[in-house]
Amino acid sequence: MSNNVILIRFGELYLKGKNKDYFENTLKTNIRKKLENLECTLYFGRGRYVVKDYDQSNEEEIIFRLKQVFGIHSISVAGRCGYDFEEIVALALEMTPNSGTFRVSSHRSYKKYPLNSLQINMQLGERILQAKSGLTVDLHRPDYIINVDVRENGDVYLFDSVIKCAGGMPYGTSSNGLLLLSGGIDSPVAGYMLAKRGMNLTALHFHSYPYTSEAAKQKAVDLARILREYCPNLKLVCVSLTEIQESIHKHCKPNYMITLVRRFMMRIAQSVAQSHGCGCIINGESLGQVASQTLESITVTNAVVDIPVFRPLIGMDKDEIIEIAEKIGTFKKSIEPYEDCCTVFLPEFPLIKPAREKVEEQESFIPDYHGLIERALTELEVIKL
Amino acid sequence: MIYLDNAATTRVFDSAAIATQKAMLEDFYNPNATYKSAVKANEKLEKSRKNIADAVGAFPDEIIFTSCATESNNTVFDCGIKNQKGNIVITAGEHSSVYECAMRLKGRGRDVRIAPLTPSGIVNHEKLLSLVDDNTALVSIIHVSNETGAVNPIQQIVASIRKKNARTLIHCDGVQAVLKLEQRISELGVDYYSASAHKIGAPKGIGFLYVRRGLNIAPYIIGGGQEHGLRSGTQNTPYISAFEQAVNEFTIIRDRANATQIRNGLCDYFTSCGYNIVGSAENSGYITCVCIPGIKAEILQNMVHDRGVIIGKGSACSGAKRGNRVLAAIGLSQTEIEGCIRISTFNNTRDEVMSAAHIINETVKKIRSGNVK
Repeated sequence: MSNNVILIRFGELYLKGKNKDYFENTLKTNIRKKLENLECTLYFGRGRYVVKDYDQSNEEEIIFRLKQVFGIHSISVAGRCGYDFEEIVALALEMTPNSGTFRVSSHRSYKKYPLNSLQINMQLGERILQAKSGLTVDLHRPDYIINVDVRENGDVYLFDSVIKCAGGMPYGTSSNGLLLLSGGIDSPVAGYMLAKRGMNLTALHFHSYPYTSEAAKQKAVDLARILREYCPNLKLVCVSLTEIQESIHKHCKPNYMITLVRRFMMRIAQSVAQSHGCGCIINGESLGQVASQTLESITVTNAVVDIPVFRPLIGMDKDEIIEIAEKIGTFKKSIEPYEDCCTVFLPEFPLIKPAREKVEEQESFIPDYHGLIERALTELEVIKL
Repeated sequence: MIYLDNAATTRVFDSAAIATQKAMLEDFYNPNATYKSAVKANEKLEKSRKNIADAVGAFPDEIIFTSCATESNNTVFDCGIKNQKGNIVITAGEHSSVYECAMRLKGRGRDVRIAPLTPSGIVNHEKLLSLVDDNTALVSIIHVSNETGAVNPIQQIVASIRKKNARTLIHCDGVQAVLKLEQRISELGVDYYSASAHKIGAPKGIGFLYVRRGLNIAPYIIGGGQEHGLRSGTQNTPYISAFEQAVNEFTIIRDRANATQIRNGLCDYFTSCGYNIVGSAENSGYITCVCIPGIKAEILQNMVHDRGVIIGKGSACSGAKRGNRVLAAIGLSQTEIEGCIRISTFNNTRDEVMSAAHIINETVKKIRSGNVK
């Protein structure tokens, strides 16, 4: 077992009032679930959670997993000792290097401790200076900071660094949303952004088998599996657009293909959202990125649904989106070059500024419009991730 | 299911699978150890090497077992080029495992020259020769194209290269040719020859590099000095046993004339359907590339799979990459390439191949009618 502990700090939850317990309890459940198959003890104190009694060889894995839990602001690997000041000194001497500059920075949540924070800083600093002649104090830009955290449970934690985590709100505290997961770079990032704000996600993937391959569908499954690391219990629903796309191809002007397909997608998404208890649709649209993501295109596709559509990437540049995709581990999978359903029957010149009346006119040429949607929904497939 | 993607990989022969199991459960000893059981395992390994070498037309000491032909090709490009300042000539029809090796050397400043293909699918012999000069360090030519099945006349090409530069080393990627063409490696005149076992009924994960006797090559993988110091790592004895078994079985059942007859039937049928056969050069008999105008091969592949037929489209090794470098080098347009399927046989019967061809044609009609369901 390791003598170290991992301190967990949460961010915005501090701001919560009477419902703070709800958020904290969800966060605790998510942490428990994330670490469930690793041997360790969890201690949930006021303002700090602690992972202890773990095998040293699992430390990296625990840190890796905690970085995927929304609601955790930062973590630190800390040494642990009791209230006895000599123990604190011994641990601090163990941790500090023999040369360079340092500072002691203390924090007491246990206010009855005989020394206040300033006294701990001064007395501990003095003892370190006495023991290690190569060290000098620099309060402003030290090479090394010895953080001392005196907790109310009889423990004192000493640590030198803070690891930034995902932040956000505990997953599952902000209702349910339906993520349109295409297989590209943007949509997994969009899902991540909303999940970070605590939204519980269900993913919906449209495919056009046999126009798109089984490998393309598998790519969406793989992306959903990566996202599930951040979104416990994420479900993936797959719907075939094959018949719909064929019908549009047969009955409508070619340059309306994308606009019409996206209106079908939104209608189907609204229906799936309702049946899966989701109150909104989330997609990865970024203004002006492609023809279907102009204001006019978004207006026309948005018009067919009456639940909110969240577009967390709307104001982001592609490189900003890629940066997040790389951070969360979806980028490499997203760039595998399989066709997605949007590229099937792709017109040479898709409409950039579609007019609603004309789009509706084209839609009226599609026989059995609602039947197409119903059949797509009947053949809906829920994928086990 | 009628499996016609044998250029990608083949089903392992039952006898090869049994040989693998026996080597795993009974003769599992490290062949490099010195106790009796290990020495026996080593004897078995050397017997396999001899049998495989005999079958492919080489001396046993010319065969270095590797994990696959890609490793063999990498070994040649990384360790098998003597003249470190000389230029390298490859053909435009090379598999990615040769092409990417050459491109890496090019990135490091090497003069890499690419010989074009003729519309028939083989390398343009004259143009290849014009690229070879006194300073050519290595020429690499694929024996049988993995895309079209076209057979490069290696013996003739090697002879003319040797006339122009007797010192240049010549490598041949024989993955789709080994045993199927019934040509002895020693008669080809090459210095290096790469082969992979899973194309002839053995498992994936074993292959060899032929290094002509008398030629010294530095090892690509170093360590314990196995394979006479040329490829470290404990030999994969279960798969080597399977390789030997597959070689034995394939040598008995192979019938290039029959494979060619089946292919001719296929070509006649598809031509009568209005499709184009890619590459008119001499064919191995085992690979047919068919260009179907106006059809996307990926859609056809998905649909025929659901109807019980598995076919290829381009090279499976580059399945996740768009386009097809080799078909483009033959002169096919992007649209034509998108419509190219690859049918590759191994030990298929004429009846099943023709029945698959019929299913493919019916499916094409269905796609053209605009209803894929």
